[in-house]
Amino acid sequence: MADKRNDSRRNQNNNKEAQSDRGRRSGRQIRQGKLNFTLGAFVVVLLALAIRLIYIVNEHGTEYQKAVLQNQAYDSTILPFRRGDIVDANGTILATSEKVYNVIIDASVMLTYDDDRYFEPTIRAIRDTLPSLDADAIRYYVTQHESEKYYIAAKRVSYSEISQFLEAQAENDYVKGVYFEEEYKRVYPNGSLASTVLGFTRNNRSSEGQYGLEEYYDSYLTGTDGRQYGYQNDDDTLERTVVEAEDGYTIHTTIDANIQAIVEKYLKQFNDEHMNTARQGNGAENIGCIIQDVNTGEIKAMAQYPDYDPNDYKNTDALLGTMLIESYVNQAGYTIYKTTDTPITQDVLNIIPEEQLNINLSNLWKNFCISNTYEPGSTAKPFTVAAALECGAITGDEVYTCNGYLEVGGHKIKCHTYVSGGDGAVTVSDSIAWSCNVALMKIGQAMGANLFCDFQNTFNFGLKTNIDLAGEARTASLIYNADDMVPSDLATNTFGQNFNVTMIQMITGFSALINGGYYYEPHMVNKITNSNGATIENIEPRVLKQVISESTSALIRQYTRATVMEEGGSRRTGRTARPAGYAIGGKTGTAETLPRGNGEYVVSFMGYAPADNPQIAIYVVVDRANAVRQDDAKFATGIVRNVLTEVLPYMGIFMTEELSEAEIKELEEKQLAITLEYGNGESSSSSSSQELDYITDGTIIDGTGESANIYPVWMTWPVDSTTGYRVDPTTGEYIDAFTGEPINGNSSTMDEDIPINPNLEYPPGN
Amino acid sequence: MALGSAEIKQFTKKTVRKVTSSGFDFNLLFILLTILAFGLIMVYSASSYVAVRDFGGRDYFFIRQLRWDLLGLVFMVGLIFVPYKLYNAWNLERWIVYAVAFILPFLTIPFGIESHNATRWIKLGPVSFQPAEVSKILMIIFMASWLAGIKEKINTWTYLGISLAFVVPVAAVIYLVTDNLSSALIIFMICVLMIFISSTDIKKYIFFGGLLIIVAVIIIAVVYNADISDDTSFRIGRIYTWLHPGTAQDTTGHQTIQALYAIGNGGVIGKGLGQSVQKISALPEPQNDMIFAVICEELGIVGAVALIIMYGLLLYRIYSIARETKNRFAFMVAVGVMCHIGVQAILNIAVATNSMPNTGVSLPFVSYGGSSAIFLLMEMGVVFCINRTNNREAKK
Repeated sequence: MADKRNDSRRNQNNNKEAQSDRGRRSGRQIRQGKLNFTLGAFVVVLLALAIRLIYIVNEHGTEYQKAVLQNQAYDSTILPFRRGDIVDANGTILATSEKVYNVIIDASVMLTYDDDRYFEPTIRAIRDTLPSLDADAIRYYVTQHESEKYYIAAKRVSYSEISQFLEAQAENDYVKGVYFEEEYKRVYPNGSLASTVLGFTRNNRSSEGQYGLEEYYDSYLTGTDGRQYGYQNDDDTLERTVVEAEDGYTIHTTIDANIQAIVEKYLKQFNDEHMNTARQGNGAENIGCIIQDVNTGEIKAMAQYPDYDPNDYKNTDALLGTMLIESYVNQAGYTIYKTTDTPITQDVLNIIPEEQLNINLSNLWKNFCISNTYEPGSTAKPFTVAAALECGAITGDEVYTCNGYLEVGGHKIKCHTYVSGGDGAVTVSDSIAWSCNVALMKIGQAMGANLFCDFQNTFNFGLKTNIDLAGEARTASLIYNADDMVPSDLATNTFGQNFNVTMIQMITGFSALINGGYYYEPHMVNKITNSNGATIENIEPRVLKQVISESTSALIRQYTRATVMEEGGSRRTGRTARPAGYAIGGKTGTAETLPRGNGEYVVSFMGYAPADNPQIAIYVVVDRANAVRQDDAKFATGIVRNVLTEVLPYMGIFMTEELSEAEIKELEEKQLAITLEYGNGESSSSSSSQELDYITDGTIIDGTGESANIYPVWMTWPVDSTTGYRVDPTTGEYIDAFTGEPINGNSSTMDEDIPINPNLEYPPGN
Repeated sequence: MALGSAEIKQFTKKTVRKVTSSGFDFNLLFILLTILAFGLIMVYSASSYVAVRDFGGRDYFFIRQLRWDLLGLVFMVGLIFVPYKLYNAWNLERWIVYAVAFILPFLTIPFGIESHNATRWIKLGPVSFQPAEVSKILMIIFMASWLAGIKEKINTWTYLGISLAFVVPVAAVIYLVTDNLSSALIIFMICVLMIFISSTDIKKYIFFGGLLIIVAVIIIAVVYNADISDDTSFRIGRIYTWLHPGTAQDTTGHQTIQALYAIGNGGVIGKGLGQSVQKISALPEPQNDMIFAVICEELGIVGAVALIIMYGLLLYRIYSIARETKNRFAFMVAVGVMCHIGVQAILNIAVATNSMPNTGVSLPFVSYGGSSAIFLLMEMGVVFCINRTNNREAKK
């Protein structure tokens, strides 16, 4: 408005002037025209610049944005966070992070001056102080890439390797253009110890935990990267602003590294002893062992063989001796992984394609104790008996008659005593101590399918235990529903065939049977602390449910004790699990695998110690031992015996039983072996002493005649030279020298006509 | 003596009426204050990182710029009430003004402060300033006075030659003594534009304009194909890098290419105030000559174009005041101020967008710098004074 008014006023002025002086008016008008022109020119140029701006953004926007990002990457460095440690119950470090350095070459800095005043001294310093780097290769690279600012010459070099160069750099101002980028490397100081429990991190970096605790607690172990903004100041030196990294939390596991080491030692020993006996390859396809605190559910040890070194988890040497796994796609379009009969040797490794190598490696990384499912066999018997007692189907006073088999649903299901004509009269206690299938089937019939399946659920079979480890198998489809169960299914289920479990399910359920019925959630971690040691989280033992009453639990303790200790009588199956000087309870298991009838077995022993005041539960599974006859529970009981002989004294649990002379001698030898082992580090000495143990065992029975009723008829039969078993001259069967059990007894319990659980053929866990 | 509320009300009413009816150019004032405030915010944003790094406080540059802006505003308001005729009262005065403009740059020799390999500041007691900035305002006054004095004689070749002969020595002194080519160029361009507008002749200027274009094209063509080696003068090097942006990133072209990166990074709406990445290390002195690149990066094309529009409006308001005045001296002063702001804004933005070779020019009312802010605001004071005088004369 004001402008218009001004304009009209000016026009009036102009008109007045126009009348008075024509000449001056024209001069003034020209000047004003030129002023208009100048303003117009300014406006046009300003407009052109605005258009130029739009052009720049439009044409080069993304290109320039990228350049800025690159500049940033060069100007700011990431300060890596430190992944939290994993420590055991005593504070021993199981997994930690080590600072390492990447050697970065900045060619443009080295070549700042044409006279090479930086270049030559720097190359010389590299040659003299960094022997792991090829100075000539770096010289060549720099001359070929003059403007390269970021060339990684070496990765993950330790501080000791670069310290000399740093000194040289500090002494000589002309050493320029080499700098070091910090990084953390995941390190497992104990090598393969507890490898499948710990897992590893991808490429041993600080993030992406895979398998085990590393994966399950990844979000706690992982921290946040910091950032360092660097810039060049006027004097060409680098100044920095720093945002500190936030380190990951430390995970305190309940694992005791000493117990874990003892367990792993004996698993390895078993493997070494049985390697290449009946076939090429490892001592068994899998050997697993869990030791759990009966009263808290805390895992004290969880081990398996074969294992691997998480520091070098891609090393295929760990696969040697395992069975080759093949994958193929079935008709339904699913990829099926199948274990072949080919043991992996160096030759096999050389020829198999990389994808197959990866399949085999990832199988190796799996935690057998939680990821693999299998039929438990007779170790399921205490669960069946506990369920029957708890629901009132039996009182515990029953006496069953075993004729060696039972007709169920038109199928003849045998006991392992079938050949010798059955166990005869069997009490409930004997049914467990002697592992009588017929008695168990009768107990199962007394309960009925509904109650049996209810209790399967109560004991958490078919459900995850939710242990704090990555990779627990799902077993929901691997057990029966009462609706689908035919009588023969119930019968075979009572003694642990035709349904699949994981080791962690079994031992956690067993702890509940023993501790008075309290089902604790199994767990590996009881505390999480931050990098300064302050506690972030305490994880207390959690009772999920009471599965049986205290009185039932007391009976189960009594029955399982009878399986191992003298009160079980001569036919007890678990005697070989007893460590010298201790009373323990437990149950053996010998389960035939699928397909039936090919002589492949999973043998196991599940026990608790000490018998009068249970502290720990132990469970050992030997999956398809490398032996002519796989169905020998001594494979498992032998490991249990060895482990407990060392672990119980370590835990400060005193001996309660009298030692025989032979046992004293045995312990002394073992002590000597241990001393030797720690003295000169030769593991061979311990394994040779172990062989002695077995011989000693034989001597005990033969020589001393410890008890008269175990010197029966089979002891006079000839000994098979390859297996050491007695051979029945009439039937040609192998007979266990200690128990008199036919070694292939269980193979006859599961005749091929007995229906099998169709879901078990390719269980998801395998 | 307490004033009653009624009296205050009446006084306020009266003052408001008086001010609004006075014809005082509030548009110009608001545009100016907006650019100043915008400039302060951008100085704060662009400089805070450098301020923390080098001076330990993020508002170091901001506070100083705020102080100078306020001091400049005080001078500006003061000058509104100083009759501009005083600058052109007697004949000898213009020669004194010219002499000061000519001699001032020499004072950098005894009283100079060296910075960035050039001595451009004079320190006299507690006061330090850039003589080139003072010479700009003095030359505007001198040229206006001279051109108003010779009137239409400027159309003759002789007086055109004489006029240019006054300009060249001052520009030369600024270039040679303070090694400040951009200020020399700006003074030269202001004065040439003033001479151009003052004369009523056209043909001569078309001829000169054509000649200038031909020379520029020849220089560009020569440099474009030149083989640049280390001993080439840095001015030619700058022209070369302007024509080949990105070729010599680590030397002369670094600044320009980083400014382009900033513009590209900002995109249409920018990264947000304070979010510039380039100001952290890539752009040298981001609060100074390259502040426009920071504006582009943080506020995008939107913010940059808004600022360009504000400059356009500012020039238009000064232009209007120039048109209204009947006093030839005042007319020329207003034209000079308009040319000063216009030329400087255009040169600065042109450098930031790589539309011309790199040379250090500050963005008027926005860039960090005391001398520039204070003397530009004093020029604005003179323009407001002309506006005030116009209104008074119109009322009579």
